[in-house]
Amino acid sequence: MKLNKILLRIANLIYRMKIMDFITYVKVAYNNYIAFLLSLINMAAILKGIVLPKLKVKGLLADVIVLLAFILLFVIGMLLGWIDTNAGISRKTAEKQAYWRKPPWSSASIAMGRIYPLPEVVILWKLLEEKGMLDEKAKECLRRTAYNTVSWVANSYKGIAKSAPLPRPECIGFYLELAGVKDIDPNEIAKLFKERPEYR
Amino acid sequence: MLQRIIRLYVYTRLGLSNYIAFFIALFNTASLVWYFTGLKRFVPYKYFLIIVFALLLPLAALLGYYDLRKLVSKVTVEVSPYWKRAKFIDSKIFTGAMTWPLIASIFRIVIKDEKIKKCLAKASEEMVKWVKSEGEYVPRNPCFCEIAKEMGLLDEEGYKMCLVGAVEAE
Repeated sequence: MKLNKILLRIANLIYRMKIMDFITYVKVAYNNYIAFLLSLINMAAILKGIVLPKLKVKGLLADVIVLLAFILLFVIGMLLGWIDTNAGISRKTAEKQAYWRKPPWSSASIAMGRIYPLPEVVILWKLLEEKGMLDEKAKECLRRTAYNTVSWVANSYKGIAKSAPLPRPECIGFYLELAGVKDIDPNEIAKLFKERPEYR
Repeated sequence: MLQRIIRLYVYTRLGLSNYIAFFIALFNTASLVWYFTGLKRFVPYKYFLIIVFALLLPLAALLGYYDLRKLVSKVTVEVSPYWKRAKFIDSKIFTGAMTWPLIASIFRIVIKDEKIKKCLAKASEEMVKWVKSEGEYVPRNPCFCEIAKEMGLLDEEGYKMCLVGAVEAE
């Protein structure tokens, strides 16, 4: 508990430091431009300093070969990259990862009314009130959803994100019943949220 | 024009890193292992490469399969900063600072309360302004927080937290 508080303090402190913005910008520039440029320089150095001298290619011809190698590399790389985003490793990596099908935290939480956009909660409250269906259980569940939502949003801006409280089985049941979903045990869904660390 | 060049550059980097650099790295690793571990005294280079790739590739593919579904890749997604955090757009939509015009139009047909109707219109307007400005405009609309507080849906503490997303968060 104490360690958690210390970590929270450190995280909040680091998050507010302007130097972190600076480091982030530098890292992005390094990843996207400088590292690539360095790898090109490396390639030129290896080609001109090791490979071509071994093959006994020197002078202007060596420069032309290096230039051609660069052009070839760029053209092949570009074509491969286009194929890659549309059909290759990049696309496959996105589609094969666990959360391509598995519901992420926010989707699972929204689906069970743990969090939900405030306008919808307000409107549901009003509609239930108009229809005379706003009993204490309905009020409690809607209040819970509204509170969880705003606390989730407010906590998201702190150093360590505090998760929204777990959904209650009775509220899951209430929302499912309103939606016309039958034969699903809300306790099982609540158990899933409780047991799986990724959904807690 | 610049955007087009950047797009070509991104394609080039993807092609180079995902295929060319990747296969060169595989080949380099195999070569280094063969050369520096003394295996070169026992196995000719081409046979070593065949053995390595025959063993390494299926094992790596199997590991990759489990990794994406259950191991490091899965957990990496779960520990990303925005796994449980509200993003900028979430903070605005979930507190009702802005809403999708189509959703608002459905609710405006269903709901009778004039205050909520006005609030839905304002939230839709904020969404349109935000999209039109390509994110430069920061929606600030606390009306749903106020309505929720008036209705008793949110207490004072909840209302203050609601304002963080609806008005302050950037």
